[in-house]
Amino acid sequence: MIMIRRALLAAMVVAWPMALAAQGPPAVTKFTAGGVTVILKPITANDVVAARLYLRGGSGALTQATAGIERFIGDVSTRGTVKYDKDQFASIATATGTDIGSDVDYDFTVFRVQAVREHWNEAWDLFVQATLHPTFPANEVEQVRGQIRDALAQRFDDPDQHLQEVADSLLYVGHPYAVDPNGTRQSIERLTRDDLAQWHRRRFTKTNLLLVVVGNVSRADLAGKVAAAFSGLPASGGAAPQEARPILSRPGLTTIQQDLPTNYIVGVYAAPGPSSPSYPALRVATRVLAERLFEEVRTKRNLTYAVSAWMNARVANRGNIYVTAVQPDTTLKVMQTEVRKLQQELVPASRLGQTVNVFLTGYLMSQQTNMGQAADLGLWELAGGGWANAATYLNRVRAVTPADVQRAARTYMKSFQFVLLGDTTKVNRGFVTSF
Amino acid sequence: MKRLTARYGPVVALLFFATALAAQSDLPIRDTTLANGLHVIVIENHALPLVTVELDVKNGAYTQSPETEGLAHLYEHMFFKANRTIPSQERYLERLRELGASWNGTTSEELVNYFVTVGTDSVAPALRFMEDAVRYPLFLQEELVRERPVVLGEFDRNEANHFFHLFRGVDTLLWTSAFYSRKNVIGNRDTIIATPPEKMRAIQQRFYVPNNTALVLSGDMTPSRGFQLAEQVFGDWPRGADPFSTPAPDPPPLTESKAVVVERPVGSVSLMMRWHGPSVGRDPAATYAADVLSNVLNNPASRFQKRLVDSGLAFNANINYYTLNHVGPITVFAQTAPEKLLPLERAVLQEIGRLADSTYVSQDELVAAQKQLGIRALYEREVPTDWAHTVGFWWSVAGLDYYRTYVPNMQKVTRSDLAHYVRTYLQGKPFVAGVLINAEARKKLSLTPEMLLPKEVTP
Repeated sequence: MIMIRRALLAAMVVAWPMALAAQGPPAVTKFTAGGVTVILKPITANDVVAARLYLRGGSGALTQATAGIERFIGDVSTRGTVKYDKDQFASIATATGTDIGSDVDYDFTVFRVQAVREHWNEAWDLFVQATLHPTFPANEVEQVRGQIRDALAQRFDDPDQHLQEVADSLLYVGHPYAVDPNGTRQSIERLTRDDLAQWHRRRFTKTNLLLVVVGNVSRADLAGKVAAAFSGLPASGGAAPQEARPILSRPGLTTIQQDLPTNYIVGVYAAPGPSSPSYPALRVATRVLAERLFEEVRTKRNLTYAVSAWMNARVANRGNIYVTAVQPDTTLKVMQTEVRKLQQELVPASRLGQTVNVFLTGYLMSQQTNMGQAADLGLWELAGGGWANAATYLNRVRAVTPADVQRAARTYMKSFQFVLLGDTTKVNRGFVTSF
Repeated sequence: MKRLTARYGPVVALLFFATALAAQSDLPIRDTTLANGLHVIVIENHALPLVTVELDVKNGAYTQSPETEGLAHLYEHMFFKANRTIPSQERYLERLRELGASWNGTTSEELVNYFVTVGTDSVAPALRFMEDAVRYPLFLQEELVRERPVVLGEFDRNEANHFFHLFRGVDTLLWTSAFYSRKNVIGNRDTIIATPPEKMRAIQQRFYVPNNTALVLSGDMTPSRGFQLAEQVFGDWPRGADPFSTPAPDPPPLTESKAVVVERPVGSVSLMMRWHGPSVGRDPAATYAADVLSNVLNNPASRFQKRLVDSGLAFNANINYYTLNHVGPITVFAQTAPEKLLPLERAVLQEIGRLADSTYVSQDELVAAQKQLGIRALYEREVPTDWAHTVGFWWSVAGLDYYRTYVPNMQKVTRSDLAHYVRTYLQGKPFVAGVLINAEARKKLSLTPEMLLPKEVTP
């Protein structure tokens, strides 16, 4: 019963993520306006409009000297534009309920706006000003520099963030991702206002941009807005000189002594990116592993509160197993047993079906907001071989077999690079590096 | 919402309740009360074929004495254990997988909730599943013993977070040590270790009764179907005695300002200042004013931000009020460089002293903040699963009518209401200041708690 319903559900979601009984499935379209690529998913079920403007390149566009420059630009972009000073910008954003922000990642930088339909025109105006016409007022640049400096100083205050950053730095040695798009204290101190302005002029070209919009807006209206705003940009140039290439895992253990009540541990390995045919199988395999780790490590053996397995969504991707434990060796042995079990035994088909069901529920929950859907489309377009792959993703997940899971686990869950934060005397290096 | 409770994550999470509130008279929310007192709330949203089934119980830290500190949270863990139908947690997890369920539970000051999100056609079995868990838990000694290290593991993770220590240091002073058990969600280790199953049963018998519980169904569900299912599944759940025949006490008033310095190996300096704010049941008007004022002051163009952030005193600064029925805290949080800490704290107090001035907040700022709060309500309605948690929270803390009428009431707030709120709860009132700082920076400043308590601040 549930399986049948899930099959129908997945089929519906493929073409129809927000079930609109009256209007039929919203058709995602990709078109060019003003020379910029646009992906539009018209949603009429609610009055929220979400837009994401992607700047291609991510870490591949950066060097150690320019690390963090797009974060810097994003943070200062709402603090002075050709049309509005900071106060005017903030006042309009507040009065219209418009949320504007930016994020940096290894594969891209994204500027995002969320507004209600009633104020979409004002929100779009603000968004265009922030993304295309920032003026980088000197005092605001300095204020943002201080904020980023402070944030960077805190980056190791949280054990989880510390752990993840160290793991990234180890996994991506010699890779374009070795440049942290969040920046370093050195790079942020040295970047000048002119650096930001020049970088903005060079990188904001039509071919470097992708706009994804989800909401109750028409193609004609959006195309007109985009053409009017973006036509004046250079057609090309400023592309990232490096592309993310696959990585290789190297087994290892890095320990960082800290006086903590428990030990934070992550093991990472090279994983296929969203465009890989193996991606759905490893996604399901990590989900099965996460459930089994919860059952074995937490529920049966009570060795931890937090244990998990997951996979990121990057071009040069990363798989993870994670735990916080006061007995690292004992706990990691149980976790290794579960990894081996996944590699050596087929997951029973009935169990796999249950896991996929839970996965589908979680996926649908992530699609409840228009911004969530826009992020999904953008990710697939830039890191997953094209937005259309978003539409087939759930069917590909559903098609994963026990043999696919076993193959994916055998192929990728190896050569774990471990990081331990806590009591470094509590872990057996020989055992951990054999993972 | 759950991030706010058992985990002390980024302080920005504190803004959640102030900003994510939503209520409009045309909300697709319908409710009824069964004969046994169970409040059934249906939030209708057919955008996706999913339904979140949530049980909200008026339990939480505020029901705890020092002897039961942390047991509301321990109970939440035991909810996911053996019951009359499901013999073990392993089988429990298997059943959740069969239902395709995403699930969790959270404990906070004035609420404990449990929720599963399932496909529309699994709602009935999900309700039966929840019924078994809430009505017929076994509290096996073996399972309780095994769960203790798990809860302690959660405690360990909290203690590894520097902000946990800042919160604990400030809140112990804000609520007093004697009362702190009623604000301390995570509890303490000794109580968790020593708790026998009988204490779990006592909590169940007192608080886990239909007349102290709400069932929220949110998503692809009509009210009539939801009410019918609720009656079928929970209609024979016997009403219990009123768990609050003796009302939970309020914290003692804060009679003088206090301060604490928390030394941890952190990279930044954090300043937290807290006041006793309104209790929503006694002074709901002040809660609307609190939210509006917080929204005004957190706008980057506000006078408050210009004084604290644009001046270079702080890297960031915000103010918020966390709505509770037994005194919600008003919090100013800011981060700064060590040498600016004391000038920053003084500036905060000066601005607090000026908030009631007739020119501090303009009419335009007031209207814009009200508009923004109203629009954020629309954003919230996009996510039926989260909406269930939000409605459950307000049902428990303030009542469903408060939630339903929130936006129109919030929009009635005037500048004189803001001034009244400031004069009642902030201006010249005792507060607790806490600083999170590393040893080196503290030494340079020779920082003591007394230095955070200026004798007199001239606005």
